Amino acid sequence: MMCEACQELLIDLAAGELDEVRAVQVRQHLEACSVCSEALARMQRTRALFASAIEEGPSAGFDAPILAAAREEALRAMAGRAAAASAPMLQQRLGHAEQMVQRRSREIGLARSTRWRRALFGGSVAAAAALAVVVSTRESIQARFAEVYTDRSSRPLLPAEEKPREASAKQFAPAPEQGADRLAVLAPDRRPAAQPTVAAAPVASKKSAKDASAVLDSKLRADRPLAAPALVPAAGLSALAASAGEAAAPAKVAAPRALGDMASSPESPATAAAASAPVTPAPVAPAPLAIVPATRTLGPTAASSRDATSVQSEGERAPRFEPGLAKSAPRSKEAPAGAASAGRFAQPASAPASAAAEDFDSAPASSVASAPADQSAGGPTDPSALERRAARAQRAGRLQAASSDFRAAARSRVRGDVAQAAADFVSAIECDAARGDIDAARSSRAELAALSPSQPAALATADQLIAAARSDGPPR
Amino acid sequence: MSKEASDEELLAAFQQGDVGAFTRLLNRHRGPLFNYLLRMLGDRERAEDLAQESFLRVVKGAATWTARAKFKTWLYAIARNLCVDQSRRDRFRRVESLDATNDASQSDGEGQPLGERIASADAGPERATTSAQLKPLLVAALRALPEEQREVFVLREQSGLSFKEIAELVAMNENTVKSRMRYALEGLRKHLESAGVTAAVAGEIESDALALQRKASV
Repeated sequence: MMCEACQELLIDLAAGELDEVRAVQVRQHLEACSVCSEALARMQRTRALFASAIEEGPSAGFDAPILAAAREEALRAMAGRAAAASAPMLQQRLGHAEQMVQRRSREIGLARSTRWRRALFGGSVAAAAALAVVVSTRESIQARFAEVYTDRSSRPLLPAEEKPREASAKQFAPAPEQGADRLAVLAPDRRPAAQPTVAAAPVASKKSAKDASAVLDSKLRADRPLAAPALVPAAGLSALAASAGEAAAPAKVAAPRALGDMASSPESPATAAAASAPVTPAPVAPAPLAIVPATRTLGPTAASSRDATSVQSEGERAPRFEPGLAKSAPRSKEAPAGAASAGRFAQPASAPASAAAEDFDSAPASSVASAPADQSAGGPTDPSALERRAARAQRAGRLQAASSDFRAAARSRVRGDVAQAAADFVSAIECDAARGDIDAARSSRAELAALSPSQPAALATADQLIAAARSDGPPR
Repeated sequence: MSKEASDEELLAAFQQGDVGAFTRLLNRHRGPLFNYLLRMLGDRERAEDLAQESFLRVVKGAATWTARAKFKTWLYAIARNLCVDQSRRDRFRRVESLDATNDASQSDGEGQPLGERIASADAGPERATTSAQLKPLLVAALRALPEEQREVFVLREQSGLSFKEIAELVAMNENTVKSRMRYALEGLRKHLESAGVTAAVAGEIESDALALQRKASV
């Protein structure tokens, strides 16, 4: 081996990386070559210097963060292996859970649809109930309104234009510091227009209406089939009767002719004639009072139904007085409900309120006076016929004739139907009271008292009617 | 696991969650890696940081490691890349380097490299008789080597990598690595001779080192 080739391998021999065959060859050359052996010695010395002298170590805390990270990584690796091992089982569980979720969602969907159906059904039922409540409340409000309206119709109403005038007067009144004098000048011009309307409201009429309303309440509270006639404001009672489903009840309420808004009611055919009457009630008219007689004997009959028709036609073609109708009045308790108002009789609120009444009033006196004379001259003696005739007379405004007919009917019923007799007496008293004949009313009351104590309610009603008539003052 | 378990076996054990295997790997390579970084960077703290970072990267990348690659090569490749990045950053800093020449007014060595100045100032021929005094001279001689020679020398002599592994690591021919090693040894020898470290001193040091080794073995 030449020196050049040997020196190429000296580094490998010094590092111990030379294979054994070549190492032997190099050693043989080194034994013979001092230059090469000296080169190897220099390499060995240099390497020995650095191997023993410069080695250092890191500081004491060198390993801590590395080992901590190693532990964390080892745990993660173990967890990953565990997860991989349990993956098939988890897959199976996941599939099972998905199946359960799907099944449960189907059940929930079904329950939800059933719940919706139930909610819809409940909602519709609630809506129907609410509608019924609203309708009944509306009817009762209408009845109450009609009652109040009838009450107000007895007094002069405040003209509709007065309130805006007052409001505008207040609204456009100048400020006190700006034009107090001007306001003082303007105010007297406007105030008298409103003040008389307020002052014109008759206190007595208001009081009588109040009393009548109290009587009505007491009668309604009594709630007896043989109750004494109730004195009520005609329109209010009619509306109440209509709203309370009076079609099935035997009570009879006089339909007010003065109220156009009630004319359309099918239960009040008598008011059809009044449909053309002015809606606005007369400002001076007192509250129209209606006598509701006890209905057991005067209950709705076929005759009364016909009578109602005739009354309607009578209203349309007045003056027509057909006493013959009273003769044929078979009593029938199975009368149709629609004829409930047929047997009613009412005093018209005022003369202009009923065209029929006006026509009747304009009829010849002989025909008007023939009604009570009819009885004395061999007229109808049947109490029912008398009552019907009295009712017609009362509706026509012939209160005296009505009173005498009622009284005659009552006297003829005294020995038979005491309750109906009491009702007739009360009707007579009402007619007397309405026309201001207190003495006649007291006389009827005395006769009624003879029937007592079997009819205390009728007596009380009679007393209230007389008292109301006295407080109302002179007849109107 | 036996004492002679290879690095790859230990790393495979660590992949299975054996922290002890990794501890043994750490003990085995902590010092050589630290010395490599220390000699390459010349700064103890930065060498420690990079050594820690290298091991942490090994920990994080252990799951993706495959047995086809040698662990030592992988570890030193990580450290070398970190070292290169650090060196690039250091070039933009105004850090006084051992290789930098001092200003003439502040220098005692009249333009000599700092390592040579330290060696010439502190290590006179008569004072370089002990290994404690010899160490700065050796460090200075090592720092005086070109980086590629220093790297091969440190990797071979202090980290224990073979020429083949070094060639793999630095992506050079193996003969080139051996040549660099030869030049490195020759350069060190010359530098030490110029610093007054003669062959006799080296022989004494060598004999002292042998005595210490014997003492430690006893």
